[in-house]
Amino acid sequence: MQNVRIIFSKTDNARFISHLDLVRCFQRAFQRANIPIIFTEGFNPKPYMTFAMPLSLGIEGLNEILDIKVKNMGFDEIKIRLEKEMPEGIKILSCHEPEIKASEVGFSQYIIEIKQRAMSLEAFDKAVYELLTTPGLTVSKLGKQGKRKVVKEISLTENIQSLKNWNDNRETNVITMILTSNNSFGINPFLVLNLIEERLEISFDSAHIIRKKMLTLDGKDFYSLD
Amino acid sequence: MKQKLYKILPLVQKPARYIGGELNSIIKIPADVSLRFAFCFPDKYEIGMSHLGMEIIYFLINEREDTWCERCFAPDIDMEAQMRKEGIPLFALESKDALTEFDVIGFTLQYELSFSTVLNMLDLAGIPLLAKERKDLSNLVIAGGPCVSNPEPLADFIDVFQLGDGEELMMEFLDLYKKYKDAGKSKEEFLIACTKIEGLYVPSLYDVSYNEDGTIREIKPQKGAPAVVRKRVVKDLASVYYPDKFIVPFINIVHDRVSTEVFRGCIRGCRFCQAGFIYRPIREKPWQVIDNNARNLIDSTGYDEISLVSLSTSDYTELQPLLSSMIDWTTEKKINISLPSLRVDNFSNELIEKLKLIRKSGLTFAPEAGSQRLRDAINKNISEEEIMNTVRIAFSSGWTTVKLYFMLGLPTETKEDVEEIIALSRRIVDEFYALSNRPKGKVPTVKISASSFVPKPHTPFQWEPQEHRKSLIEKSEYLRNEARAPKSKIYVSAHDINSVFLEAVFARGDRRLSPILLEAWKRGCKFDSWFEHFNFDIYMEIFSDLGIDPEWYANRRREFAEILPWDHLDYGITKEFLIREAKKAYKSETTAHCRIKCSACGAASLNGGECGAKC
Repeated sequence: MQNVRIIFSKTDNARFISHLDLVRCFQRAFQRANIPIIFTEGFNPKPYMTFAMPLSLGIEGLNEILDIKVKNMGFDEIKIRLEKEMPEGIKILSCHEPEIKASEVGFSQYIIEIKQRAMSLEAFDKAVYELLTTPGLTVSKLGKQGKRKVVKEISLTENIQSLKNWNDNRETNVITMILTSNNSFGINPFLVLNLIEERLEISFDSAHIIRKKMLTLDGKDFYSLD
Repeated sequence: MKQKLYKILPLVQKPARYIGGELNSIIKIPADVSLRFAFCFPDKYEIGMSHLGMEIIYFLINEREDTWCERCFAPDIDMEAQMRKEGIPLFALESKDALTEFDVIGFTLQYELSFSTVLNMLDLAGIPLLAKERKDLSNLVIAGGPCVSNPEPLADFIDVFQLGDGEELMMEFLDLYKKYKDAGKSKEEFLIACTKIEGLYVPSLYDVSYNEDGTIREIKPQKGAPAVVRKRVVKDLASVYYPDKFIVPFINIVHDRVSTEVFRGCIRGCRFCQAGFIYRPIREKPWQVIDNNARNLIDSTGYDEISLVSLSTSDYTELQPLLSSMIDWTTEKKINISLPSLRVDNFSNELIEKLKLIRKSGLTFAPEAGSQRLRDAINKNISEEEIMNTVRIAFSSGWTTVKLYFMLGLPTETKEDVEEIIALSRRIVDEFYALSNRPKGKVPTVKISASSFVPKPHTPFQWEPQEHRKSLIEKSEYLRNEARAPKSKIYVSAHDINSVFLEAVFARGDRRLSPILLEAWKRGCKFDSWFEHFNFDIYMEIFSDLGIDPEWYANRRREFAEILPWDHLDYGITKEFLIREAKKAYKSETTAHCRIKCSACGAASLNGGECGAKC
């Protein structure tokens, strides 16, 4: 038996495939590709699959991580077989031995491209920077406490690790952020975008979010093609 | 278009329903084809993508190099709102091109309560709803499926109906369309040419006149159209086209599995069942062909479940060799086999031994009626002994839950017949406790699903009134109350009586109901088969505003001599046979199934005198 880490991208239309659907999509792809994936024991066997950090619906991912267990098959063979079976928008970038445990994901880096017409590009840049670096900044998030739904206040100041924003001098503002995303807690970039729209009292024409990569708890790249 | 879509997709539920690009979906280059066909299912993606007929026709049409067939479904409420707001017309999933770009727009009509959704889809596409307002040959709107056995309520909207099996008919239709399109012919010339092909029905070429009492006086063909349109059948199922792949959706759909067809038609002749008559004569596939279909589908999709589809799979004469072969290779690949339509009378120990290897889910059977007398009247032809025998085998083999389908309001039904539903369920519960080898430490569950009977065209009950809503409600209330008794172990789920009433109106409706549908669409009706979207009060308002009595359609007994709205549509079954069957029903007499004795229904004539029942 061997552990295999699959790095894949999920772009274009595929961003609208939900996490649960993605799990099924991979399961069927392994089946079609005849990859000898190992199943869980028990009444209803399921293949061993661990996604490092599920991606929210609507966000593109450039370096997503999936770990599987396989009876025995070379990494190259798995990659060759699997890439033929993936639907449009999902590309297999690499298959290799996992270097770090998937549970050590600590942060995600997002690139967000925003189109809006309410403010000039410069003014928007400035306002976003000021807003997101406000000391003690919080955002409310609908969460669950047991079965009850509760609104929780979450600190953004503590959970935005790095922030850069600029514009392309034509029509797009770009924000790059590293947000907390670990096994027990994560900030969804949509929360940050909603906060920006709410506080600046504008509405975006479009917002295109890309997760560029994941980082470990001590800030190292998990895997990145570049 | 893509940018507009990307803007709204993050705002809607399950956006993967609208992106296309699923595995095995087919992309062609528009410039390379001369015909574009949009296969439309008038319901949501997760329903439509579960439909076997769509997979067959989709891949069949796409075998043609000259045609690109794409799929289109009704967007959910939230998506439709966004599309209308952003000015996005209804598009086909593969190319994202608007339906107005298509030569032929083909709907499948699987149930009457999808009719209003057909209209809404056309409107969302920006296509005129009324057939007479579509002057050109382009955007021709056609329809097929079981509801085409009486499509009259849609007569104002659809240009051509296809009756019967689609495999050969669709190809001939497309050849004809291409010929007329290339020659620059008019829509009218094309429609007249359609009437020369068996199985094509052009409703605008028939004049219907009415008597003073509202019944039909005459259905008169125009411009050389035939007086009677015959449905088409595929004669040889061994060689008929079957796809070796299915589209694999991203989202969970209702029937999330691949299916392989076992046979068409049915030998049983249950008198309430439209499918049992309109798909005749019975034609089986050789088991090797089915086994091969199944292997191809599993390999090309990666699904972990395969369903053996027919109207009554345990009637398949080669079920044993088929299952023997399939169990071998599916066990190895961890694939489940599902057998959705089993009868209790041929549920052998041998079969259950095979089923035990397959999966331990609940068992579902359809006695349809509680008493033997009523089961005889509807020709269900199963005895209580057979039912009890089956549950005994099931309980001894480890099952604890049995689901039973019943119908309320069947012709000749009395209070005693309804009481027998509960009595039978109780006897099943008792049977569990009486068994020494029952599953230890477990309790039985009998789930009763009670639907209401809807009289359907081309059945022996096509002349029957539907029972009035009030008494249907009383009967289902009675069942619920009885099930509420402590420790009954019986659970009842009943269907919505109002929607069943509307279904009965449209099932045997005539073309005077087209304006009702048009008005219903105008007042926002769509997705009528969805409890949460169905608005019965609006329909009743419309019937009243337009001066049409829906009860005249649903609750009226027709004379055998009356001209019925579908009398010019020939499904191979003779009226004499249906009348014979109706009269036997009144006497609670059964008719033997087709393998015991031929009842001369007439369907063999569709197949050059051949019938697969070979009694």
